[in-house]
Amino acid sequence: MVPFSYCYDWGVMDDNTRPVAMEEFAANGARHLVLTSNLIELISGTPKMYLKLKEEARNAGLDFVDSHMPFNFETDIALPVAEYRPQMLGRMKFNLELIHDYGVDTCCFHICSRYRREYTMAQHMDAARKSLEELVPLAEELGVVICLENIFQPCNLVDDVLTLIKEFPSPCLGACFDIGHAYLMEQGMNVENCVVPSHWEGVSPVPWEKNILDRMLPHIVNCHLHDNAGDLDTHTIPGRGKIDWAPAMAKLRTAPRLRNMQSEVIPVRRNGIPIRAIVESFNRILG
Amino acid sequence: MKKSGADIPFTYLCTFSGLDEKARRMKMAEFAANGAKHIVLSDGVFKFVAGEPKMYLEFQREVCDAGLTFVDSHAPFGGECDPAIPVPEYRRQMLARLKFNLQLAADFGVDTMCVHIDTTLYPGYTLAQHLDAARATLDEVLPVAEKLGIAIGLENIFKPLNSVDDVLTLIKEFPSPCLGACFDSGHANIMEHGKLDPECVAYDRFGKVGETVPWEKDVLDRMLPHIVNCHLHDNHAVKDEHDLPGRGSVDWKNVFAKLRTAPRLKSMQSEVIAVKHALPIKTLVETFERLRK
Repeated sequence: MVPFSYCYDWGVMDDNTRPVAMEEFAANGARHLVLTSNLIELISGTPKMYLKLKEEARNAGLDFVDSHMPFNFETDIALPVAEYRPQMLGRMKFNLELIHDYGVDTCCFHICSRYRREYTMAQHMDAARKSLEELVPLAEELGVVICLENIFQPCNLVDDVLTLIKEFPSPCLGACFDIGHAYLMEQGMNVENCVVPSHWEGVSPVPWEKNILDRMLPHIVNCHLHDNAGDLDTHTIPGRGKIDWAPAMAKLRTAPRLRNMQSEVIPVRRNGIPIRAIVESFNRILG
Repeated sequence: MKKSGADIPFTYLCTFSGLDEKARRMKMAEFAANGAKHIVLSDGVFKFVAGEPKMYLEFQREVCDAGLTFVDSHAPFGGECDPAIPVPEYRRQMLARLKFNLQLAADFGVDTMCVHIDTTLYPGYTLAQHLDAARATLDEVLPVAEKLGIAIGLENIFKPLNSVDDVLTLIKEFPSPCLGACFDSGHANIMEHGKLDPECVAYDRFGKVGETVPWEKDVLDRMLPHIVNCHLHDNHAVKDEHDLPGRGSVDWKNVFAKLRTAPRLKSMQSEVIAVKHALPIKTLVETFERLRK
C-alpha cells in the first residue's frame, strides 16, 4: 500500500488555525499531508516558514508526501510569453528545491493553467517542452518526480501529458492521474451545464476523452482523488459524486510507477466537509 | 570624479505591508506627486512576489502606472535567507531563493541588490564557519549576478560578520564588477559613535555571541571605492532608528559630499522607515531633495 496524503485549504488558514487542522488530521488517523501550492507559496514568500511549517507538521506527528506546484499564468510551464519565462523557471527551480528539502519525491505540475488565446496550442506545448528541458535535469538531481496532470482544459489532455512523457523519457517525469478531471472529460458530454465546454470556447470543439486511467496507467506516479457529478469540478469526497470508485481504485493499485495517493478534496472553500468525514470516506474506498 | 547628486538615481524605501491594491497605488502616487522617480524593490516586495505569483505582473503594472521605476533592491534577510548559513541542509533553499530573487530583480529592471552577509548566527558554528559559508554562497551566486548584470552590495551592519572588514574581505576575495558594498549611513554612525552609550544596540548584538564590539572608524572612507548603492537614514548612534536626515547625529554634508565621489556608485536610497516615524512622504522627499543639491 502506497502512502496516502491529504490536501487542505491551507490558504484560508493562519498561523493559529493551521496547526490545529494538522492535529485534527492526525487525530483522525491521517499520517501524511500534501505540500500544496498554498504551502509552497507560503514558504516561498515567508522565509521563516521554511522551518516553522516542518515543525508544525512534525509536532502533529505528520509528514509531507507528495506536492503540488503553484499554478497560474505566471507559473505555467507552457507560458509562451518570452519575457515572463525566466521568472517562471526560476520560481519552479526554487520550489523544486523546497519540495526536496521537505522530503517529498513527487510534484504535480499543470502543463497549462491559463491558456492564452493569442498563442496557438503548438506554441504553448513548445514552451512546455523548453521548460522541461531545464526542469527535468534538476528534478533528476533532486530525485523529485515531475508529474503532469490531466485537466479538462487546452494543453492538459491525456494526449498532451503522454506526448511530453514520451519526449522526455526519465524516471523523474511521469503522470498525475486526476480522477475528477478524468470523469468530467469522459462523462461531461452527457451532463447538462458541464463546465468543460466553457474552457474550450474559441479554441476548438471539446476533445472528449475515453479510457483515461487505462492510457495513463503505465506512467502514473501520483494521483488526485476527489468526486464530482460530471458537471462541475467540485472536488468533493468519494460518494458525493458519481464516480465508480471500486474499479478505479483496483486499477490504480496496479500502476507500476505509483508512489503515493492523494485526497484532493477541497473541504473548506467548496464543500464544507469536516476533516473526519474526509478521512473516513477515503478509509472506506481504500478498504 | 565628483558627480552632481542629481546624476545618481535616488530611490525611496516604500513599505506596502498590510496594504491592498488601492492603498498600494495611492502610496505610489503620493511618492510620484512629490517628485520621486524611483522606489526600492524591497525585501518585502520580493517576499510578496515570491509568495503570490500573480503579483509578478500586477506589481510591475502598479509601479508603471504610478510613473515610477525600480532601480535598486534589497534581498530578503534573516536566518533562512542569509548567505552565511552554515547548516548544510538549509543551504540549497537559500541559494535557490537568492538566485530566484536575482532573476526577479533583473526582470524588474534593477541593477543593484543589497545583501546582508549574515543576520542570524547559528549555534554550534563559529564565525569563521559562517564566513566560509558566505564565501561558498558567493562562489555560486556571483556568476548568476554577472549573467544578469546585477551588482550585489554587501552591507555594513552593527553585528558580527557584517563589519566593514568582513565586507571588504569578501570583496577582495571575489573581484568582480558585480560585487561591491552597500554603505549604510545609520549603521556606520552606530559603529563609529555608539561606544560611549551602554544602551547602544551594537553592545547587544556582539555581546550575545560573546564578542567585543569592534568599533569602527572612517567607515565611509574605507568603503568608498567599492560602494555600489547605499542606505541613507539617521539615528543617534544608539538605536537603529531609520529616521529622517537631520533628526539624528549623522553628518549629512560629509556623507553626501563623499558619496558623490564614489567611483562605482549606481544609486542612492532613502532607507528611512517613514511609517515607523509617521513621516509624511512630502517631508521625506523634500528632505532628501535638499541634501542632494
